[in-house]
Amino acid sequence: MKYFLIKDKLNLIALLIIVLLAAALRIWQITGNPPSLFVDEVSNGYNTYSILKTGRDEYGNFMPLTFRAFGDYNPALSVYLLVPTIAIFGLNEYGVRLPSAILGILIVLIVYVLALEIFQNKKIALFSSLLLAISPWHLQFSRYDHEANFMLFFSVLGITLFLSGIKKHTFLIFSAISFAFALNSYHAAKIWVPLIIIATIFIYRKELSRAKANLVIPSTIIIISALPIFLNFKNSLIRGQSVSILNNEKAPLEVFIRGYLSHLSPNFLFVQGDPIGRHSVKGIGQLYVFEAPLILIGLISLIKIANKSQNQKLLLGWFLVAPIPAALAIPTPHALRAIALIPAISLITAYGLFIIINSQVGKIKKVLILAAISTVASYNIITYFHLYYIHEPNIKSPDWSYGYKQAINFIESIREDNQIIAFTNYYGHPYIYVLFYTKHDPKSYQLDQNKERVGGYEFFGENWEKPNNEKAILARAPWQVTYNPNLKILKSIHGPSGEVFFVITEE
Amino acid sequence: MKIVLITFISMILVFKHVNIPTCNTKTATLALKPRIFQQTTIDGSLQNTYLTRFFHNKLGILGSEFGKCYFNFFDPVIIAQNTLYIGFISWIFLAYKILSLKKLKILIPVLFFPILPFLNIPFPVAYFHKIFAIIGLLTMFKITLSSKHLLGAVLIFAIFLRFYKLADVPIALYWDEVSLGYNAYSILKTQRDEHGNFMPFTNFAAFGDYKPPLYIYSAVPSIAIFGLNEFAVRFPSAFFGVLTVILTYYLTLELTASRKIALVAGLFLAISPWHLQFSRGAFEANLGLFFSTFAIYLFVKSTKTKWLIIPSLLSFIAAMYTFTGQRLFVPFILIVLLIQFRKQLLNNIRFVLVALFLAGFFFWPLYRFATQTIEGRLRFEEVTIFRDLDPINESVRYRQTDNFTWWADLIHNRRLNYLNQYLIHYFDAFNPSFLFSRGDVNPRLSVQEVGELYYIDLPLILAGIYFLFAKKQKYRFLIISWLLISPLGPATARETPHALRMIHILPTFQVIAAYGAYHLYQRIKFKRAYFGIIILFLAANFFYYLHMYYIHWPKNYSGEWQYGYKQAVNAVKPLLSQADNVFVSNYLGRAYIYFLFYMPVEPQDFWQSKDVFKDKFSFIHVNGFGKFRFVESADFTKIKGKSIFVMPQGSTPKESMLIGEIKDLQGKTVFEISQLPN
Repeated sequence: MKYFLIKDKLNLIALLIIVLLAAALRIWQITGNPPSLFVDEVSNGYNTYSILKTGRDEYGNFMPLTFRAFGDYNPALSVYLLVPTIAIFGLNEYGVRLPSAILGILIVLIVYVLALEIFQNKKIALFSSLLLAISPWHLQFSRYDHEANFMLFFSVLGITLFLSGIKKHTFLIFSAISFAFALNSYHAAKIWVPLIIIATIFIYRKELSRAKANLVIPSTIIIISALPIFLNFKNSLIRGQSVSILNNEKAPLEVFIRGYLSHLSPNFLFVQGDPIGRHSVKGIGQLYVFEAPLILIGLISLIKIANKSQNQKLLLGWFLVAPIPAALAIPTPHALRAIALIPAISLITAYGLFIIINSQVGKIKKVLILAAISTVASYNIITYFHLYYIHEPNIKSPDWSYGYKQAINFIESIREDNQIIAFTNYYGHPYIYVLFYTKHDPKSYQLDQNKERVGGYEFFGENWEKPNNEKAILARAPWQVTYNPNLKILKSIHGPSGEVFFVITEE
Repeated sequence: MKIVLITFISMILVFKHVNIPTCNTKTATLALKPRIFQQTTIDGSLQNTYLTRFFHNKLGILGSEFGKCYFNFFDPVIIAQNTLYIGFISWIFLAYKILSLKKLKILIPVLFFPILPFLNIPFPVAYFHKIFAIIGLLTMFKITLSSKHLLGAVLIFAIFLRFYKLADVPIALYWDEVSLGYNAYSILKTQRDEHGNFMPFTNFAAFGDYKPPLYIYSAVPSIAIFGLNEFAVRFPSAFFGVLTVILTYYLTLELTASRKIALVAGLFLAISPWHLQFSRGAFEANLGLFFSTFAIYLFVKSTKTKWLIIPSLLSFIAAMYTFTGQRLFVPFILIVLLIQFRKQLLNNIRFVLVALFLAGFFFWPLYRFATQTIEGRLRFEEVTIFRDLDPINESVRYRQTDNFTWWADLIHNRRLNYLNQYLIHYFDAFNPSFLFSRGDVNPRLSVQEVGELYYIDLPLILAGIYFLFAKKQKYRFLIISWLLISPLGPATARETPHALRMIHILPTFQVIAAYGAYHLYQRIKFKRAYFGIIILFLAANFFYYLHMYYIHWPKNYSGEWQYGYKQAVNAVKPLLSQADNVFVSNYLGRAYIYFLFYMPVEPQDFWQSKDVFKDKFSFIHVNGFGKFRFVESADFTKIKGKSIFVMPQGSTPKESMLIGEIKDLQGKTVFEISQLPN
């Protein structure tokens, strides 16, 4: 922990700037970009709200350790971490997205310490945190609420504390607590956290064998933290089974290897990115192109020196293990399940950059190389921000279930009491949006037997039969609207690029 | 042991199915219009023109499209699929070694390779990964290759290339292969050929082409072991093809006294499209090549070990008993050898005389047959240009215009015209298009899209010739003369250049190329770059050839190999017991031999029931045997009993019931099989 007492003022200022930059990049426009709350975010948000108000989740389970949500039984942290911000900001975008952003800022700081621990070099540490702060991959996932980001934070914290714990054994307890949190944050953590713990133990087996007595408490913590998974084993596996290659593929080993390698594919990393809309920015890859040679150089140099330092071995191990959780599932490559790659890549890239700066080539040559790198880098970075802030909200609005908020707010503003509102479930899970945006009372929802109706909203699939002759409001996808003499169009909900998501009519 | 294992892995690796990403070469042109965002962006509102031009400029989008395509070829998934997992590990290992040892120059061609798909040639890239993985394997197991190891590797490589899928590619047995096979079978069962002649010595009548006997006798053991099938028929050719590769090594070693050159020559022959083509089919010429090369090797050897002159001459005689083309090669090469080794031969006069006597003894029957009988002369006269009347007619025409003056008789002498014709055919043999681009025009004799030699051989051969003279190489006369006299015989025929009749020119090209490659390497300053470029080009050439040979050629030219006969026989076989007659169209020619071969019919049964006719050109036609009738076009009205028809499309009798259809790999119908009465 002595690294926080930084004597080098310049370094401190640089680190401060980096953290501020990270904060700005993660918080600015967080409500409007990504353009709207995705269904998982809304679900987490409402469950938190429900916990906050009643101590129970939307299904009425008291303080559960796994959240059923849409049947995928999310681990506990995905909801409980949102409690403070929703308590402060209320049930809105800030409340839902800030925890992710805050952890995304803190991890930049942690990576600084981690890099210092691994490379014993302040420059590399600064580069690492800077690269993480501006990493498109990390920015993508720390600007909206996703539990994968929580896992990333806690596992990196756990590793960092572990490295301190090797020297001062009490830190091992904090490390274990951190891993315990990580284990209960995201489905992929059930594979990733055990793997990284095993890898760490293997690499530091000699050091750990000297700390036998001090291992009791940390291991107990880890075992206890795994209990929610085992106690609720059947449900914990649901998500795993639906995406696992073991259940869905004929030749799992080959699919696994292919999936694993696909995360190291240059096309995925530098050109195209994850094909899933929410996971990448259209037009660039998961990383900047200028990082490609740096990663290569960093990796090669790291392999060369890794024999001497266990910390560096750990970094390599981390890099190799990180794609495994994603490779065990389909589809691949998957930026979210392989999220643990991000800090490892940042560290390796930083190391590569450091190698180039410190290399023994002639001065002019070096200046030329660095100038080339920084030219490409600045073009990459500027283009990324342009794409992210200008085009991304427009292009990706369908991926983010855009339109629910506008539709529900509009309906709420015009509806009369007891008027029936028919809402299409074409876009999926409309009830949770209604709960969220109408701030429906959790208690009454939990007690309500008929989940097909929420606060006067009825959800329908193909067609809706009108039960009586009173006027009703219908919210439908444009192609579900059929001609009717009584039809009166109240409003169309447009996306940012002009396409129509909902047509709200009165019949 | 390690080397065997690695060779084995390498073989599997090379033949692992190629999986290459498709690279749409049109993306580059599409990208010229910024596709993602125009000035009015596809995601809605207008955007500042300058902003658009800066962020979404053509160069950037082009670069991105290019990058997508380019990086596909460094995609670990693609690499792993093309190299198997062990190969992938060695690939990574080699890449790491190169990078960590900072031998970055090697990387330059590596980085350029993925550009090839933009030029619409993606295959070399996949094979490039394979080669890279194999080199990785070698570095991984720290193999420093001794020449012994390398010879072993070349040998295994040669064996693999000659025996892999031997029965399936070429796609079917063509007439001569079947005929050779059935005659061998007949010899094996009855000691008589298909027509009932006891142990023929000078020729097998077969179709009336009077085949030389040795290939047939050499196929007897393999048919005895493997049975009457494609593999057994082709086995002698492949086997002696491998021996020729070894022989090339030892011959080159004898001629150049350099193990390295010898190895390279052996390797070149092992991968030569020319030699592979004939080693993988039952071609008498290939066996003949072995005998003549063996004879030359023994001849060279006999300068040290005197008695070897006897087997040498006998091997020459064997070559003449194997392939007719050899009969016009052996005399010429003997003259060349005589001139090259005149002194040594004089010192060895006793053995030479014995050898001559023995050779003469064995040669006499063949000489009698080839010169004194009509059958022996017919085939030569059938193909030779000297029976053409055109040169005479031309001579007459020109002389007529010149009013038959005495000087016109001199200028337009028909002998000069024939000489001119002959020279045209002679020089055809060195036609670069034949040698390097297209190969033999006959689709049975080459894969068409690849030359008889590789492109990279051209500079090496030129360099080789230069160095042979520049270094005053001891045996330059022998090597160059061998090269030059080889077309003398084939040039007498109309169809030139003819890869088959000229096969005895091998392995001179390979020896010269190896000699050139070696001395260039000694001379050149940038040895690594030179080595890399040669390997790269050779690998690209070679794998392209393999790909064409195994994937496209069999499909494109299945008809040339009489594909369909085997299938037709197999389709008829189960129906035979109930039928009284089987009518088979002879439109593809020589149908009877396929029925003998694939049924298979015992030779005695064939002799008893055969209906054979010998035409005025001594060709032998089989009109039928047993229940089979082979017809050109039949009058089906007088048929009695139950009949089966194997006819081309359109010739099947209308009233009969179609029960099967045989298609070649192009989808063209070869035969329709039908039944009457239904």
